Amino acid sequence: MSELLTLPVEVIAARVRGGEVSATEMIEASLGRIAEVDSRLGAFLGIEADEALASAGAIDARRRRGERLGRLAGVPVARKDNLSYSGRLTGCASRMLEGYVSPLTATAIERLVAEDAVFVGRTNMDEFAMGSSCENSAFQVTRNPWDLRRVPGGSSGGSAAAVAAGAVPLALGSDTGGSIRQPAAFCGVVGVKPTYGRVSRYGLVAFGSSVDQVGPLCRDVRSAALALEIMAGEDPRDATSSRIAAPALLDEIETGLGGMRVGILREVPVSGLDPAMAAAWSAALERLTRLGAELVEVSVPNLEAAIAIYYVIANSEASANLARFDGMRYGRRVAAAGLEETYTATRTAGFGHEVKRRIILGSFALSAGYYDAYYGRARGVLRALEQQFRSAFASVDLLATPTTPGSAFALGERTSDPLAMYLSDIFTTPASLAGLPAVSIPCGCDDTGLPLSLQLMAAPFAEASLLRAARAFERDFAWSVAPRFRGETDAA
Amino acid sequence: MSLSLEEVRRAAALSRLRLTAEEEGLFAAQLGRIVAHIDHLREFASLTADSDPAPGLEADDEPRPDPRGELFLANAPEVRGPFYAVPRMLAGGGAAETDGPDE
Repeated sequence: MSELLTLPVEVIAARVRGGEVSATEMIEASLGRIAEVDSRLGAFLGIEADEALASAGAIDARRRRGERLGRLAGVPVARKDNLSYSGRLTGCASRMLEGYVSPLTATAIERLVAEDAVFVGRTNMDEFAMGSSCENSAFQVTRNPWDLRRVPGGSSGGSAAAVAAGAVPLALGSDTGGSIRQPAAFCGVVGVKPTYGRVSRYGLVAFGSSVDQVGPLCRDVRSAALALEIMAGEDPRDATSSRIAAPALLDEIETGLGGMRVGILREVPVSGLDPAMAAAWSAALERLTRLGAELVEVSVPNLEAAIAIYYVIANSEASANLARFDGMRYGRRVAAAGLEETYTATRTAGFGHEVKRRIILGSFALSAGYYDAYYGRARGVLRALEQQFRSAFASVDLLATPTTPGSAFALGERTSDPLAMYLSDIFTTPASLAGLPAVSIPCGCDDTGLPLSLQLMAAPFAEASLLRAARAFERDFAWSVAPRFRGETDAA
Repeated sequence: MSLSLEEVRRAAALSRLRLTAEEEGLFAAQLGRIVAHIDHLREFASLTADSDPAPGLEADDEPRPDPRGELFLANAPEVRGPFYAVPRMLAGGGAAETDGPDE
């Protein structure tokens, strides 16, 4: 693997701008690494080599002409398969959208490309972002590069595996209930879910519109900060994007976390963690203290309701959002007798099991006779959760939890028990529901070498404080993203 | 706990999905466990649900040409001129038969 691919993205871009390496060489290195590892990982659903090399060639030509290059000059980037790129396939890892060529480009992608990032391919995911293991893709399973017998997490598992394996230094994911942070944790990389509204959702195929956010997965905090800084900001094409100005994150995240008050939630008992995670969690708290943070116990009683709230709200929204996939305007159509039958035949053939399960659950929660007991109640408990978070942030700057209760689980271990799969998102769903920014950063490993991660959450739009603390923790912990592809023979 | 087969069939019909008998049984059991978990929401504090939604950015509601029209149509399973073509809605339509406007 080229060491260039392991550098922070600002360093890569500086070298491209300075002519030490060309954008073409960067893209060739990325494509070479993908060719080297992806037959074992299954992280990519499609490689866009011709387009990427053409973009890189154009960047190099501009440099030769003396033109100014952007802050991501020549940086290879992967996008999750639910982020649209005009003229390129975008399929949400679903048979329903097989062959769909997007007519538009997501704002997040557009802004990165405007800074001369180069997109090399689309990554595997759980179908329509519904899952926590990447096993719900209609096309392939993605394996964890630390241990090929383990899941990479989900739903942005392909993006996390691609970054961890050194195929790209930056990948985009989407996070609805933890879909950036949980795979980042399982793959030992950094993942950021921005505040709801911080990054435009335009061009992101909708799942749960009140909780979906686009965010970066990278090997280090500064790279994630730079990508977020570029993607953030108001977008007239997304009515929920915020008018609050995008922060200059890179200028603000090197000052350490001295004096910060970090809340530890009473509702996260160590007894609920795997032993290795419990030990890594204790060590992470000690590290935060040593770095100058003051730990404060706080309470968010409705935290334990988060999974239940999430599966009502997100799936209710999904049942409405995915109604558009009916075989009329895009994707596949299964011919049947008349319009109604064609809708049903198309959707029955096009969606996988998990997507059907969630749509049905959402329809159930919204249906006459059940709406108040499920959707209405979930909204009410969510309102209380949001208020409890506001109270907590009146006395602390950040909240800390483990990202997950343990390390990456084995492929197939939870596929037959959806509830067990859902419960693995216990620590990530609260920030999604409350619209809070959150970051997952490596904080240790278990006795087999699998990564374990710390999650930090902040008040809405406090990404600068969030990433300042994450950067301080990262500098001190000095984690190395060096997966060993264990279990090669067993995984074959 | 499980959901009744009738409840699963009803929600599937609302979702425009057809389940096999095997899927109905599987989903009834799985969704039953999930709904039982969701029922614990009764035990948590609740506030009156949403008042007015937060104001969002609103674009002017003015029609304007979109040069990407052909790109959107290019993904349709069937088009007729500048329109999506769909199967007949009322009785009398056969499989794959469409009823679009004249070009």
